[in-house]
Amino acid sequence: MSTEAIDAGRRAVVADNHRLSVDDRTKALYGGAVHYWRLDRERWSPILDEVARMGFTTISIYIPWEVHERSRGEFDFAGNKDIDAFLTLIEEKGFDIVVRPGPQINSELTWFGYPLRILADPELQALNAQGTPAVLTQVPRPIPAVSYAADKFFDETALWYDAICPILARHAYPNGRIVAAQVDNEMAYFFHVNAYAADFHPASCARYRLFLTERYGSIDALNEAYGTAHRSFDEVEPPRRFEARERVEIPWYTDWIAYRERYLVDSMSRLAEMMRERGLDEIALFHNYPHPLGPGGAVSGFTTPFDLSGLEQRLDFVGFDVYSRKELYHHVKTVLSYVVGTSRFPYIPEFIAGVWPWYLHPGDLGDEEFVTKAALMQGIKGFSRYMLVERDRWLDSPIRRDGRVREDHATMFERANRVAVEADFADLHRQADVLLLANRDYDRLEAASVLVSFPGDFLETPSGFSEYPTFMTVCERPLGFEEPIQVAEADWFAAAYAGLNEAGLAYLISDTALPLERWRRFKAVVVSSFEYMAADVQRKLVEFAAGGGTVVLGPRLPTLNERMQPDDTLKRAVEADGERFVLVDGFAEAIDALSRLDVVRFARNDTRLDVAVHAPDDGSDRRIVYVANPSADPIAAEVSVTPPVTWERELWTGRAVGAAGTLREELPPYTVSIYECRI
Amino acid sequence: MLHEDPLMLDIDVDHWRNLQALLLDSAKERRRIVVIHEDGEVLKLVHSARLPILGEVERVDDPHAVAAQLYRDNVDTVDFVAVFERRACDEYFGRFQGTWRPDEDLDVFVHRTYALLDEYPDGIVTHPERARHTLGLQWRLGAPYEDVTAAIERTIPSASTAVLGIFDGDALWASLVLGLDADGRVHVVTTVDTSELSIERGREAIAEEVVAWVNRRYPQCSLGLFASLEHARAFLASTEKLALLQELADRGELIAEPIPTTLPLRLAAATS
Repeated sequence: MSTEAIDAGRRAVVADNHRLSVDDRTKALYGGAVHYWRLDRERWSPILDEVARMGFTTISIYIPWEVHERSRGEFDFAGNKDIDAFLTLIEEKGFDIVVRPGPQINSELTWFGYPLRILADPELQALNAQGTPAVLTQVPRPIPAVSYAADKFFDETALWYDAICPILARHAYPNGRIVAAQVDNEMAYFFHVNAYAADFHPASCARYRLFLTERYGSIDALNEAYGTAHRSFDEVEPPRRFEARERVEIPWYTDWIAYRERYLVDSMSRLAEMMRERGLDEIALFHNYPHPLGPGGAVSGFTTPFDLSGLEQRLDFVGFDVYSRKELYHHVKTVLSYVVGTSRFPYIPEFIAGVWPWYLHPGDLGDEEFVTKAALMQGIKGFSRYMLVERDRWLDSPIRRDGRVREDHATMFERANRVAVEADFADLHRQADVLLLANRDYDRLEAASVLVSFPGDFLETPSGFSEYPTFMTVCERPLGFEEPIQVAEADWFAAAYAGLNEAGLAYLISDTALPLERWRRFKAVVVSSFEYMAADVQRKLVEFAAGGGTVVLGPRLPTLNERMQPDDTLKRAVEADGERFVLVDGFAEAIDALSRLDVVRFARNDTRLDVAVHAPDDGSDRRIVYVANPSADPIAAEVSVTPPVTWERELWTGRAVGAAGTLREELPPYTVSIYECRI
Repeated sequence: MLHEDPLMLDIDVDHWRNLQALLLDSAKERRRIVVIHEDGEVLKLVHSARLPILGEVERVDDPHAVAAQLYRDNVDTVDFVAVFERRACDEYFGRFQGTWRPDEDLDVFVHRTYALLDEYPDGIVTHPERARHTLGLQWRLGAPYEDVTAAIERTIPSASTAVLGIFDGDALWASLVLGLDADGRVHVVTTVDTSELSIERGREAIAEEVVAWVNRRYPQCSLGLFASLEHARAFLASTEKLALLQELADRGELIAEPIPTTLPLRLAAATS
């Protein structure tokens, strides 16, 4: 077990090294969601039998506070709300279980899973920068975001947890088959991702000041960084819009963004602790960030306000939900490569199996098959299909609410599960020697420098903008630097991503918060570097290089830290060691440098093709190689990998291939083929 | 109008996808030039696809003129131009969120959200159409919200169901089932469950089976209207919708069965 594994040493359920294990046995968490309270109770058993027939090993269950609460502190667990009986039935059927008791569960419920009294209480409403409630326009009712900074919210949630957690604890391993529980759901300020959309609740502002106190230690240190003359932290107000013109102003803004990350980590951690105190302390706890890349969404958007590494210091693992169509292959690759590169256990807590009715342009089964393979290709080790069983406000699941099965859907899902189990995907590891790091400090500046503030909106905000910062919304002032870093950094990351793809270098994605010991699993890291860089990141890069790693960075070397104070640690190291550091402006130089390393790579006759290699840990010669054609055109593919392999069989179809060295296959548009190979 | 707990059950994904394509326009998906300024100082001038922009904007003193000029200069690469003044945007978004009430229906809230754009005629500017009809997710209904809700209230009796069917050739391409509760609020929003239909071809036969299916699954079907995709598009674009319905009926290109007593009278009145 790695030293970073969450305090699970005494537990039988452990998430680490890309596995979820129970009593040292790897679990194949190929599951899906069933909403018991939305089904007739007599349907539970036959529907679970159909789920088993499709090869799923796990049932994932949202549990709605909104539905169970009759009045404050009074709950109904009878009839088709009898979660205890449902859990027992699932156990009898031989499934493992993942539970998701909220408090927020969305689930397309009118009040997002909360009793209305919670949302209607002004003391519990998150506020935007203008001081009004931060309202999410969703179907069938708009709702105000709840402030997860308010103690009263946790007091109310305790009433729910007091009722539900003892029931769950009776079924939690080793008492039963619950192996993991999700803490809350898609907590991203209720999709108010915009930096100034939330949360300016007085309790949040108080926590912000506490955060600054911890960060700076003294008001003098803060004043030095901000260029201000505050007499105490109580005088520090959070920024409510971006107005910076000079770099000295940056820390005030980026601290707010860092605080927004902490807010999410702390609130999820607090809820997790409440769950552990109520008997869920022997299973893995995890969280799901929302899919950041939906239609019209951002290209990146996987760092701030999210902090996967930070949250995994408090929870066992964290993933991103994925609802995507085939045309968004590179979005899927980006976010899932990030999860695989960052998380202990790369899991998709909600993985497309149908969509909600207000999802714009729903895809079809072909989209779901392509995205399924694309996810496995990146190295995902488990998932929960959402939804396995159709219900009110959800369409196109494999099983209808009356138990009828959409056989074409069932065939695809069964095949995906069978291939994953037969090929032992849970015990394979993605082969990659290069780690592309998103630089969180620049992402924070990008997030802070949005010129327009607007709320999240499931029906599309009347601005035409993505809630994630993009070139369309970010300020272009250079802020005293050679160029506006907040714009250039996204372009640099995109260029690095494209350059690595084009060169056929196998890589994963993470961010600069990833612990250094995890960087050391790679031979090289690639990271953007401008005139300033966080002091701790500078030191991590220097240490990585000192340990024998190669650092590709650019376009400039920092001379300042994140507080805009002099810090040339990295610059001095680069100037002293031309071997381990590669300072690049254009990305071609980086590719040249990386190509000189002994790294996993692939060659193909069409750069639109993508390739990923997976290998077992046992040192055997077995390899699984994915080849994707994510384009709208058929491609007569010629593919080879380094080290060379013999291509034996395509796993999805079972078709024998028998090619040595170079694979030659016709790949239709939007297809991924999965090959069993030997080196 | 929209119930707080509507049933959206058994939606046919193909019908739903087609309905979305027919009825919805996403500003995010359209090509556009965005100008963001503060008191006239230009902070952002960008094309959504990062294409070159013809024409310069040094200041924004007349946002309407700027939007119109940019649109004219770049008409081949844009669907619209948006000119945002930062403070107006901040105020607008803060204001509409501040109007939230837990007992208010979604459509009322959303309608007010878009209507409020009219109060920022110089702060949130789009061209060629005004912001209220350009930004966000737009419904291609060819009628104002008030007219649509009034038509539903006038035409569909409480505690009944209406079904609209659209044919591509002689196959059902899309459908919409709307059920009203006893208070006249929309309590069912779905499509026909095509897995429960036996007839795949023939407009009359399909319409008859669909209405029978609605009657089995939901409160009494009070309105069934069926037309071709071409005529559905014409209906949505028309400002004389009743007259167009009458014209289609007269030409035998509209299947209207059943029809509530309110609708024939309106049709008659509109064509008399």
